[in-house]
Amino acid sequence: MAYAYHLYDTPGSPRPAGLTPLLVGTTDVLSALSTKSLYRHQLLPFLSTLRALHPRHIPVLLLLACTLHALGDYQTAINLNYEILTIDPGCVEAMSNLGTTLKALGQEDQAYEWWLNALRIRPTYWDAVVSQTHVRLPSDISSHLIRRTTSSASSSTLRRTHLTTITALKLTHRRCACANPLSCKSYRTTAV
Amino acid sequence: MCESVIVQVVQDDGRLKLPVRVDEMHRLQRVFFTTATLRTLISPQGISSAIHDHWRAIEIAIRPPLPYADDQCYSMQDLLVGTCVAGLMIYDGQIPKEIMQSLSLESQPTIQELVRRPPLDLLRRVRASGDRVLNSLLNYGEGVLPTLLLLPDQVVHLPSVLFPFSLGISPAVCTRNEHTGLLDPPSERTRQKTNLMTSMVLLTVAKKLQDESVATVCLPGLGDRVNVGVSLLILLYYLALSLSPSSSTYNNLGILLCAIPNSRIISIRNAQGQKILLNGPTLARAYYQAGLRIDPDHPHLLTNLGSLLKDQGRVEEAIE
Repeated sequence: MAYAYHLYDTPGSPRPAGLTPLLVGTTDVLSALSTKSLYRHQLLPFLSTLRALHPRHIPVLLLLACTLHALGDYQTAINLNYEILTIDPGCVEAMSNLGTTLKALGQEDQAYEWWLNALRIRPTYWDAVVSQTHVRLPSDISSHLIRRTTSSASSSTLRRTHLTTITALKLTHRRCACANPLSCKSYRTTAV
Repeated sequence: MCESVIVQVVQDDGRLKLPVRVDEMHRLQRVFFTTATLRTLISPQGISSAIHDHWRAIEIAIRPPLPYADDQCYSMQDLLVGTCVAGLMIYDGQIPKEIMQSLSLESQPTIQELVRRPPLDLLRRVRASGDRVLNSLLNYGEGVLPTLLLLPDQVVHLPSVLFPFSLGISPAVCTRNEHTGLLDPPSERTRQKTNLMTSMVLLTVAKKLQDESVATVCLPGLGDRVNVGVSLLILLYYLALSLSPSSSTYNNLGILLCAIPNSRIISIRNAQGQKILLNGPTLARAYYQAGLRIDPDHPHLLTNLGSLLKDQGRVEEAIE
């Protein structure tokens, strides 16, 4: 049912107005729609099956490691990223994801090293640049980079501010436009 | 780390060493922006180097896609001078004679001819004319860049005058069509992200230069010829606003325009062809009102407009 509700709610699909798809007050079904629940009960088993079928297919392993991270299973995510690196030692996505997961465990020096490794191979790997900048700087300086305040000179008695924010650290998915992701190397899931 | 990334990705002249996807160009700009921010945090004396990094972040966005000729290797000086000339064209309808002459090149069509036969590749002409145009602008502005009084609906035309071949879009995020050689536009999302980033860099520089302690700073790439003054700040705000309009920027620009002496009055024709007189405060009001059209509840815009109306003796409207 959770999957059915997920499909029903998929943005872009035309839904008829004026209908109630849920029994009013059914909180258990609503909670089943939460991201974590969806990851644990649907995505994880699905990816595990794919992994059993394609044990060395990096896109599957990468997404699985991200899902594990999102579910808080950091150690398994780390092991899986190491496994990816034994298959493809130059996989910058796994390196950067290792950095993000190690950072989540408080191991910032190791995290920094993995982001640096990713950047040595691909200097235009912007996710690693952003992550590394933030982990290496004291929080007060880092906050300058996250939130810039631009105020103008005052003309009378008022104070005016302009605020711009950049994207906060979060997990996200990216994929190429390839019709068959399983056969495409550029399909990836990365930490931003 | 940022410097290491920059050295690996960008040449000293600003050309890219490695391909950068157009939808990620704003992220390269951000590396320069981060570098600049860190320089000023490490040492207040790093302001010149920081501005240099900010300039480079902007220069990346204003150049055409690779490969491009040396005379398209546009610098921040070219952009500022080009904006000034474009502004004069927009608000006067014509370029003053002495500036027109400085843009003349031997065996090339005159600017008048090019204006009549668009598109005019203004930035390229400005660059080819070297320091002559800057010098004539400084002469025209009596030692500083001329203070342009542009209405909000005139400012929005700046990108299309500066980048006519990409229809006002930052050329760097366009793709050269291999069949026609023309520039194909990027996705709307890419355009917006690049514009937002460029706009943020411009506003950051403007804010730094508004700080009195850097009033004597030597602007990188402009030598000691261009002084930091209101006219330069206004140009930076115009550019920022034309790329990414926001209620805050309208507000900040309004404040800046209020500082222009009342004695500076120009006469322009509005879109309906009516003749109107403009001075700093009149123009500031137009910017506050334009900002309120985006965000009618912006508290600073409302209070600043109120203060301005009060200063003009229109107390009833100020209270409202």
